[in-house]
Amino acid sequence: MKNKNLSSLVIIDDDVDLLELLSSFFRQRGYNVSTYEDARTALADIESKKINVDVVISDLKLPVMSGVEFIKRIRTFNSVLPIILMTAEGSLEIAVEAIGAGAYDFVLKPLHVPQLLISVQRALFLNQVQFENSNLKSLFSEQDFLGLKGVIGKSAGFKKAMELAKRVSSSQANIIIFGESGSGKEVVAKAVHELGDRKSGPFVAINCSAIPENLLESELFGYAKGAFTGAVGSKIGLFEEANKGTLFLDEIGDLALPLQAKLLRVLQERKIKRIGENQTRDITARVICATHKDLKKEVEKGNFREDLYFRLNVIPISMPPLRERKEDIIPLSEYFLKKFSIINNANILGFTKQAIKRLESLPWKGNVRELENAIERAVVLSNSEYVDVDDLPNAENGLSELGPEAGQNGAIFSIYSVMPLEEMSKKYIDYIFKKNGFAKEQTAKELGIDRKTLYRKLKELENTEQLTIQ
Amino acid sequence: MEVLNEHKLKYLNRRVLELEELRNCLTSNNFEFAMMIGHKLKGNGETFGFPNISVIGNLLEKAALDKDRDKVQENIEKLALSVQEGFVALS
Repeated sequence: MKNKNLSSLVIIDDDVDLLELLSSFFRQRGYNVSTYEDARTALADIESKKINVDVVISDLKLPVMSGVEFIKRIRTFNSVLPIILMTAEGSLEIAVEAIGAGAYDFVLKPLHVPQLLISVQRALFLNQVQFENSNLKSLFSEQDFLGLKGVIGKSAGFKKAMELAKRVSSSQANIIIFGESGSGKEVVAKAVHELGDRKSGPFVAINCSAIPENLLESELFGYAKGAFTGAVGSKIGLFEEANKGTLFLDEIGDLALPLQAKLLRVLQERKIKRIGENQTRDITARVICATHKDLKKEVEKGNFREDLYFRLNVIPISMPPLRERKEDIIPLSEYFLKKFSIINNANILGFTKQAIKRLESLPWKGNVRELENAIERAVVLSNSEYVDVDDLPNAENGLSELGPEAGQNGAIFSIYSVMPLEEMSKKYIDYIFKKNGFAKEQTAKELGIDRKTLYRKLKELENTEQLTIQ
Repeated sequence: MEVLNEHKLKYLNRRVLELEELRNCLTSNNFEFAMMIGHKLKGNGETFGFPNISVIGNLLEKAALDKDRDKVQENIEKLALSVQEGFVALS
């Protein structure tokens, strides 16, 4: 269990000797302890939230207010706080009364303190489980936009995109979603799927830019046994896998021209052939495409087939970048905070005012994905119950822009940094070269490449003028 | 759990002060006080490593409840002896 704060105990007993002993025992074990000789004062402090409390240990027989009365009063405003009752009266009736009133446990005096410790640890575990349970409940019972879970946003741009998604969800028209990387194109596609009559079918997504062309073809269409070397069995493609559901083709603008032709045919004929097979198969999947590219320009440049563009561009939906829908930043941040608090078992309650200001002012070039990463990192690194400005990316340094040596905690590259692999590779070589005082042998060794390769790479850097020292 | 001698000493010293009050309460027939002290000792003696004191506390509470002056006195003296033995054991 990850708990960033010490667990807080309240101990109530009019026996000063026991109060001192228990207080010392639990403090030595890292607990925060508040002690009271009477239950009424403790009740007032707990109710007014003057003190933090995770577990209460209380004597049963107390002056002014008994332990059972104390429990009854606590339960009027807190139904879950674990209360352990101690008593020197070992009768079953009293135990039943105490548990009936809402005591978590009942321990007998003379106390066996290690036994009490076990009871406290179990109560804390129960507390944690209850906390996680209520967080999960609230996370999954939230009525997000259009009643869809995890679809968060209230900006006009977001609402426009989602309302259009809703309107077209029950039609069969082709949909193409435009938007920058990380802006939530897949969320729109999923919304179309969830809101339409295909929601009981599968939602299958693939990023066309992430898979090499020949592999992508076999992924999309499947193949017959023996179709190519290594095809030891037949495999169904994603078009078939998504039957009666939705196939989401992300980054369609990066699809190679030969595959564009094949995709066009599928969209026209609604039939596919697995690679190495003559048999045609009907497909019933709805195809939704998305891209961060301006497809019109790609058509002009000859990188994208015009006929496919027209075929896809029946209903275009634009998802605006996060910087153009600032009203969504805080609701999204709160959603991610909850999500990652649960995943990381972190007791993070929210953001400080300064942190909120920072969140609203950052450019979020990586859009919602970058925001999500930033919040995950903040939840992991935060030392307090509230995410502070220091836990977030720095606006002035613009972490999205940073390269070598910019990352925190010794990281060479910031996790917010989004740059082409080749550029990152060059920057990394430059960084290691500098770090080693321009010693080529040491640099090659550290990079795990031979000297010849390093010379070649350094030459490339010189040509692109990226090398720090020529 | 081994209770630190520091806690034990403090515990015994508090009993010394209580013994004086217990003897005084007898002269005024204040059985309520004896009952309250008996109940407390019953609950904490053994925890501090003095099981005898818990036993005496139990007897003292019962005697005070019965308003049995002789038994209350008897148990006060037993308590005094146990406290003394406690100090010796710690020295």
